[in-house]
This record gives sequence, structure tokens and C-alpha cells, in this order.
Amino acid sequence: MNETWRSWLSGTPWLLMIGCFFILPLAGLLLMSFSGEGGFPSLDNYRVVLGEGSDRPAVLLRTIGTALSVVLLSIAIAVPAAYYLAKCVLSARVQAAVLALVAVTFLVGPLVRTVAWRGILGRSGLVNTVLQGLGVIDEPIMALLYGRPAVIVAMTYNAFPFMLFTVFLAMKMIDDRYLAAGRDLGAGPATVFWRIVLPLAAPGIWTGAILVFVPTISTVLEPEILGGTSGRLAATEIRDQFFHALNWPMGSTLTIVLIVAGGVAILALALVTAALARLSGRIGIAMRAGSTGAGSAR
Amino acid sequence: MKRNTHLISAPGPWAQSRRDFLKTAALAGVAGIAAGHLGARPAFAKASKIVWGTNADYAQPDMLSPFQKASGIEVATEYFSDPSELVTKLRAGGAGVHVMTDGSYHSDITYGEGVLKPIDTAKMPNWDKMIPAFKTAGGLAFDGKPHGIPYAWGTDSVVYNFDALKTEIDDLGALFDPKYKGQIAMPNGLFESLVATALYLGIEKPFAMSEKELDEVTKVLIKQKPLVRSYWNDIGDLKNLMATGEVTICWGWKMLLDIKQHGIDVRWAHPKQGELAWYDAAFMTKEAEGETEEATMAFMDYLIGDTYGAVLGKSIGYLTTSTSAIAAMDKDLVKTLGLDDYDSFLAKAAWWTSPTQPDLYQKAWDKVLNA
Repeated sequence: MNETWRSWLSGTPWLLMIGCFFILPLAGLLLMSFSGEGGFPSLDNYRVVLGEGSDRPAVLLRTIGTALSVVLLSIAIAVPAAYYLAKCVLSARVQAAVLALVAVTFLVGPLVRTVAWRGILGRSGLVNTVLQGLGVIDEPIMALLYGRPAVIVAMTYNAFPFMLFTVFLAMKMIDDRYLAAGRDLGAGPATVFWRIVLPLAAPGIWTGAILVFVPTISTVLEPEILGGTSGRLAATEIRDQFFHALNWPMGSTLTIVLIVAGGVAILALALVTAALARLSGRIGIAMRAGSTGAGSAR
Repeated sequence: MKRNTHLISAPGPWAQSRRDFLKTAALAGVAGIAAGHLGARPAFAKASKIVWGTNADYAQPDMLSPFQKASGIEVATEYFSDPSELVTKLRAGGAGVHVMTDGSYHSDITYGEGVLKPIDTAKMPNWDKMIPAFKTAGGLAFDGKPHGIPYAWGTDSVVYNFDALKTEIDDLGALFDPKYKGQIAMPNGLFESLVATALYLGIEKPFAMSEKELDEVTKVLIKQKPLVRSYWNDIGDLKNLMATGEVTICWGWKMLLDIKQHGIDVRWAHPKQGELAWYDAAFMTKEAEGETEEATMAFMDYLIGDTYGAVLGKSIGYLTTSTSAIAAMDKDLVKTLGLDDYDSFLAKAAWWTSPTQPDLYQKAWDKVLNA
């Protein structure tokens, strides 16, 4: 048995698992999406979803836009937080305690965490009460809740640990000697962060971005609980087609379209992340495997 | 589905309070009296056990024990959250369920699946004591033969916070009034917003709208969107919205009035355009045969009798269809439940049925949500 066959054989359990639990269900959805009014196979459902006059592309764009906003907001919050935790907090125990605290708060479950935002952003919620108490506003700000901003805030909150943990690990692996060398050569803290830390942490940011993006485009909780009338996203519509309208072919079609659109968005995100990493560090190694190793920098 | 939610959601207040204990004690008393009353009636069933596919709200021990004691027939229950679950089992055969609860919104679908059998109302002494409007309500008779016995009912309408609005509401137009911008909640399920809007527009058959009528309704709902604070997903969601003051007026269900116990002056409107009425009925399944069929008929008759109807109102606040039950109930409770003048709003009620073209309804509602 030659080497190629041996390597295929060693991967068989993995391939079987992928085949049974991912490819087969997806193939089922794909086949079902071609069941239209005109029988099988038919592109009827795709015409309805993507054809002229359809409002589905707008929902899809709204979904992708919301998910990307959540990713960017997560990066904006998690990167400095992870940097501080990984490189400025020297005690490993404190680092572990902070991460454990983040993990423990997320044991509550997404439903409770999401509903809690009503108590924060609502008419009589924490924000409005404090602002009114301070005399900043006379009337509660109704736009805080039941709209896209509330959805994005809650989604970011719910997905944030995925970004924090991956970016923290990526930054923790960066050899402190690179940072010291940068400072020795006259770089200020901002330059060290921008030119050394960020490019080397790019794989972690990228992984975090995927881990945040994927569940965000498929969640129905936040749009329904906090979205008001503007909150409908693709996942909600897919759920409605499967479980309310009992139109499985249409639900399958919307799912396939969302997967494709999500894939395109992830690709675009990868390109942007790589471009930013290159731009920031003027290096071309950020997205390669083992990019955090000393030999990969040039 | 909406009526499933009615079925599976225990009306708010009835779980944990001292009041509930007292309520239960009172029910036990009613049950005891009823047992004696039933005992005088000749039993016309020999089977020792039947199975009722329903939900826990309708089949509490205190509700069933008078029948069981009087007839000697054990009523076992099989709970479901969606009638479709039970229909699937009945279709496959061997479900072991002899009578099932279904609603006006769904019964024709169940009948279409071929799992029901007709009943002989002449064998039911309590049939003649039923509120007349229910005898002719849709979704009970198929192919000219009666199949269902409606035993619980209610209406959906506009509910509003009087303290906040400072005015009585008697017009569905309030839900579309810019004056209440940002204070309105509408339902996000079972096309109920479409139907409520159809009532507002005076469309004669809200569950059988043409494509043109649906377009008209869709336009009105899209125009209404900037006025609406949120679409509510279940009754708990709506209670939260109203109780926290996020909204002050909505299209809601009777259970919303539970928040009165928190000192919120929510009121039920009787709009001049009418209300949406629903019922839950007992249907005999094809698995009820021979002696079991007789026992099932006896049980269905019990559901529309004075004993069960009185307990139903007292226990979970649902309305009975039995005039004799209403007569036997406490007068204050009759007034609280609105059973003292049922004829006036039944006259204007639109009955929940399945939409004749559910696909078109779904498309219309999708259009509103996606806009």
C-alpha cells in the first residue's frame, strides 16, 4: 500500500463523519431545493428567491451586513481586551480567572442573555433610567430597543467569547522578544501593536471572525426578541418556511442561498483580513500556517 | 400554531399563588357536587377506559374526576403541543386515542387526513343546551355530518393600557393610528395580523381572502410598520411588552389580561368591526369503536355539560359553550369572563378557520416582514 492510499485510509473515519453528518444532509437540502411547482428538477424556488421583484436578496444582504457588523464590532472590542489580557496582565492566574469569568457568564444560555438586553435598553431600562437620572435626557430613548442596533449589540455580546478566546490564544503565543526587539529599535507601543502584534495575531482574529460570523447568520433569537419590526433576517425566514409554512423546498432553497452568500462573505472577510495583516505588518505571512513562528517573519 | 399555543400555555396566573390553592379547593367542591349530579344520569357506556388527546390545561384531575366517578370510565390522556403530531400518529394507525382536541383553525385539515368519524348529537343530552352560535360554527361538520363538539372558546381583540391612553378604544383603527406611533404591538404568527387587518378593512371573509384583498391588507400592514414597536411571538412576549410599558396597545389574546394582577389597567376592546373568535372542540377519532365509541360519546357530552364548563371557567378562565354551565356558575365569574352578554359579540365574531390559501397568506406575511 503506497503512501497516498495510507493517508486516505487514515482519514477515513473523519471523511465518513463529514459525509454522514454534513455532506448527506446538505445534499438532501440541495435536492429538495429543486422541487418546485413544476416538479423535479426545477429552478422555480430559485427564481422566486432571486428573481425580479423578490425581497429575499434584500433580506440576505441585511443578514450578511448584520453579521459582518457583529464581526467587526467583536474584533474592535476583543483585540484590545485580549492584548491587554495576554501582554499587559502578567499573572497567569488573573488571566485564567478573567477567561473563566467570561466563560461562566455564558453558561446562562443565549435566550436569557438576549432577553436581558430588554432590561438594559428598554424604555424603563438601565440606560434610559441612568440618562434620565443624570438629566441628560427628558424622555426615554425608544430607538435603543427594537431595532437593528439592539440586534447587533446583543449578537456581539453573545458571540464575543469566541473572538476573545481565539484572539487571546493567538496573542499569548506571540513571543515577547519580538515586542521587546521592536521597542529596542525605537517603535512606540502603537507601532509595536500595529506592526508586530496584529499581523502575528491575524490567524486568531480570522478564526474568531469565522466563529462569530457563522452562528450570527443563522441565529433567530436576537432578531425576534430585540429586532422589533425591522429585525427579520434570513434564518428567521428559513425557520418560518420549514416550521410554519411547511414549505420545505423553499426553506431548503433559502438555506442553500444563505450558505452560498455566507461562503462568499467569508471569502471576502478572509481577503480583507489578509490585506489588513499585510498592510499593518508589511509582511505576507499572516494567513499562512505556522505564521506565528519566528521563521515566518521577514 | 396559534391555537396550539392556546392549548399548551397555561394561562398565566394559575401556577403558584395562594389564590390558586383556594381555587383548587373550590374546584374540588364543585367536582364533588357534580359527581353526585352525574351519578343520577344513566350511564350509556360500557368500556372502562378511553384516551383523550389534548393538553394539560383541559385535563386536570379535578376536571375529569366527576365524569370518572359517575361513569366508571377512566379517561387517560395523551398530551400534544400540535394537533398535527397526533394526526400523524392516527394516520399511521394504532395511536390508541379515541377523542382529540382540535381547534377551528385546524379541524378541516385533520378531517382531510381521514382520521375522524361523525358523531350522533341526538345521543348527547347536553347538545341542546349549547350556545346556538356554536352549533353552526365552521369546522365542526364535514360532508353534512357533525364531527366536533366545541367545549371551550374565546376571542382575540384589541387590548390597551387605559392608564397610558386615557381613553376607551372601540375601533380597530387605533392599531393603525399615527397617534400611537411606537406604542403598538402586532402578532407575528399564524397570519393573525393579516386577519386583524382584514377585519379592520371590512373584508368579509378574513380567512378566505383573494390575492387582491391580501395585497390590500399587505399594503396597509407595511404602511403600519413604522407605527409598530414590535411584533410579538407568544403571549409571554406580549405580556412582557405591555407590563413594561414598551407598548400600550396591541392585538392580543385574553390571557394578556393576567397582567391586571400587577396593577396595570389593561382593557379588552370590543371593536365595532368585530373580534376574532376561536374554539377548541372534541372530535371522535376512527379508533373509537364499539363500546369505546359509546364511552367516547358519553365523555364528549360531559365536556359540554354544566360540570365541566363551570370548572373550565373557574380554573383556567376559558369560556364554556354550555348555557347550563353558565347558569350554574357564580354570577361574578360569569361577568368577569364576559359570558353575561356572549350573544352581542358572537354576532360580530369572525371564526378562526384555516386560511383557504395558506401559501398566499404566508407570502403576504413574508412580504410585510421583509419590507
